[in-house]
Amino acid sequence: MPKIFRHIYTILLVLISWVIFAFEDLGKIGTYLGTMFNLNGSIFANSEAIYYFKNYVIIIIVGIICSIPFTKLREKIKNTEKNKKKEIIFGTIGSVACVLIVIVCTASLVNNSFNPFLYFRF
Amino acid sequence: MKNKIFFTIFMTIWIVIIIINFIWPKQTFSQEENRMLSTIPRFSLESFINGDYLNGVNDYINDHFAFRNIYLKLNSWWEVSVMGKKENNGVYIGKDGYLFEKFEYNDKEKENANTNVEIISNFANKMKEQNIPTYFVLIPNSIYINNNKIPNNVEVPNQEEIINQIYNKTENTNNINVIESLKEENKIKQLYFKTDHHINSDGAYVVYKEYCKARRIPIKELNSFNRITISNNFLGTFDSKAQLINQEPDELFIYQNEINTNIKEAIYDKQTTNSIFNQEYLNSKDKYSYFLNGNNSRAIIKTNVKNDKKLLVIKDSYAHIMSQFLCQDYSEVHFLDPRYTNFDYIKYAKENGITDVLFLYNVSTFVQDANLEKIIK
Amino acid sequence: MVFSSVVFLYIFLPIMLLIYFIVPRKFKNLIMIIASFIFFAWGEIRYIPIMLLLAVMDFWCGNKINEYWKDKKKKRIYLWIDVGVNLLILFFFKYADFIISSINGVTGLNIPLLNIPLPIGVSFNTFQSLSYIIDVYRGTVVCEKSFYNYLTYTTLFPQIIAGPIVRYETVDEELVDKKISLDNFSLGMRRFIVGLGKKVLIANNVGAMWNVIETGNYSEMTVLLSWIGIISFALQIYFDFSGYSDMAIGLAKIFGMEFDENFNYPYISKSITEFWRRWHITLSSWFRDYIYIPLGGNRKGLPKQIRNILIVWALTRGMAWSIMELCIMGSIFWSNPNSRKNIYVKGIRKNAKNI
Repeated sequence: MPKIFRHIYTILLVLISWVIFAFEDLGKIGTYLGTMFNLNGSIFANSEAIYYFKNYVIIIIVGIICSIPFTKLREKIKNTEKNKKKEIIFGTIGSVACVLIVIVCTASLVNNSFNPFLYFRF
Repeated sequence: MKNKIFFTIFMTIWIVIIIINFIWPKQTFSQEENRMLSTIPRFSLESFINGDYLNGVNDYINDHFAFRNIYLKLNSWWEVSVMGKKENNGVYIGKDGYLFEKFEYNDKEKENANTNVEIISNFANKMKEQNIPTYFVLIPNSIYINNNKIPNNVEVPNQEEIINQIYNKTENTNNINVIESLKEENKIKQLYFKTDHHINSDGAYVVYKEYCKARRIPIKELNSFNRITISNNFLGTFDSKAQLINQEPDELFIYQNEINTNIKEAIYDKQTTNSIFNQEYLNSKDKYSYFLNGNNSRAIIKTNVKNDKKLLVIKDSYAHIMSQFLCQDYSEVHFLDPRYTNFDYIKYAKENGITDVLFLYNVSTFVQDANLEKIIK
Repeated sequence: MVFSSVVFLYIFLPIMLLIYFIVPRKFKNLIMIIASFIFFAWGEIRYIPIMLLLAVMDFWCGNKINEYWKDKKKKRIYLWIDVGVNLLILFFFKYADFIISSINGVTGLNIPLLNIPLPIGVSFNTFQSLSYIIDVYRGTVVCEKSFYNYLTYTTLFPQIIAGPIVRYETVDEELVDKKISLDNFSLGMRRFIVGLGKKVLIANNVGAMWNVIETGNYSEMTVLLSWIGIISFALQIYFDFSGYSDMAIGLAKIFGMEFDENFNYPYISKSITEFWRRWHITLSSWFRDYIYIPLGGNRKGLPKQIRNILIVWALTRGMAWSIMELCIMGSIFWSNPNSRKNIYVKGIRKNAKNI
């Protein structure tokens, strides 16, 4: 099987496993999976679903992109950094980016946004 | 090299933030968010073990973080402009600069509403025994009337239905229907603030007109008043939560005439003045408190109207902006707020020679309010 | 306390780092221990006695095993004492209330329920304890002779709450000789910031979406929403855990220690086996080394003993976890049908490094 199909197949299995892991109740698991694969007659989308889609599509895409290692790109950057000047430039950009991440994170924390602690399950 | 650059840049910023936080003076009230800031909770072994104490400390630290307001705006920018969210901190970001607080109507709200309905029916019945008529007006919120400005795909419970259900259940009152006229007038004029949960003076006039019709009081035309702009920079309660950068502010204006400008006496909790307006609040963020001196448990307005009609208004804050109109036809208007009072209103009405009673609420507060039970002892 | 909080980022961490880098080398572990206790007391103070109990038991049993190295029977007794204590703790938190209410039901008494939720970090701490005592028993590591060092290891605050499972052999040298440098500080801090961003900017965000579905505040589940929901969950759980691991690894590096990697981009996997090699690596390798491989042992009677542990283990971990752990084991087995023949003590040290 070509790589991409194996990958999609794996993701599907993983998502189904997450449903099982998330609900722990056979009834709820069954209903949820049934809805996902259109087995129990729910409609495809309603206003609410579209609203949530619009609100979360960007962060979901960002999340998916950040789940990919981009090894070749990183190799390239590592190689260009061998040049002293480029190292300084990339170094500064990277450092500023880190500082910005901390500042935006602080903003979110100060706002007392949703900040759950998942490890309670364990 | 890269690591040295990072170390310098990062440590500088980090240390600066920490030092600023250390020396930053601690405030008690946040103007920007219009609320009291948390204080350090009191320590007790129990609260420490169950986590409340530490949550309180956490809130305290968050609340007193230096430049908190900038961080709130930054967070709002991140959520709304970058992530594309159409809501922030429980407020929808609507079209044309409109903001809306979320409105839900579930079992809890239904129960609350039913409780309040019973209390009002009971009260009105007691008033009937003394030949005092009780009027009841439930004002819908912006999120329902300005339904065309809410973000796409948001569904809001039908407040018209809710109001009708509540009116049907309430006994012994004269219910005033303002929905149709609000809907009509809203097509021509802006009746609600964009950044605040209250109606503006135009909306207040529409409600006043319906009250006059129901009460058979001759209606004063709007052009008999002077429209005066009090401020062009009003950012209200919705803005305090949403914290959008570049939020268009609201215009705060009133309809002035002889009667509502020349008040004989205005008795509030902590002071007595001769005006239903208070200029001082215009210098702070909470400009809505310009009306009726902000939140008082009791406000008694004595006008120069020569009749012996006295109105008792049992209300939430929507009544404050209504005061400019409600005082037109009464020699005295008593505004009581069940959130802050603790005495029997029936006795109060008797002792003060009240001739008319008006329950004035907006839907959102009405279905959440649990204070009405205090009015009958 | 959690890493993603203002109090940690701007009060606890800077003060702790300042003191840590100033004090002379031999006191650095002490600073870590004190910091861990403060970190722990801030939110999970009930767990401190347990943590101390485990530290003392592991240390004592480890030294006893070392003392009776030639005596197989005695060695095994001390192994089982320590393993027993660990499992007992897990069992207690899971079933204490169940037992009490059953007693109430049968006898008609009304003993109040303890109502203790599983304290955070208990699981990871017991995993670590078990790995230590089993490694000592097998001879993979030499037991720690200094309680001071062992206590530092077992209370390491970067990983004790939720971080990668750190085996004793990973940090045994660094407990004595920390690799502190500007380079390590910068690398560690950068790693920490990446983890922080993953947790606060991504995980918390998509987590809010899943929270809507979990709390049931939606009108009717549509196909679209069900997919958005589970994808949000998948992203939340990945970025939260891997973010936390990044923060732990980053902090360790700042302090001069090197933790093992824990996540290796699991969502690019092309098979479930590969997924388990990329997801929570320290956990799956823990399973491979301390449960699965013993299962494949050729010793008579030992497999049965292990099987019994498994049953107890499943009971202590709850359904969701057990299923997951069975999956891990299953896929390890499936990918290496010959590994049952592989062996045992000598092979482990090598295998632990090649995931």
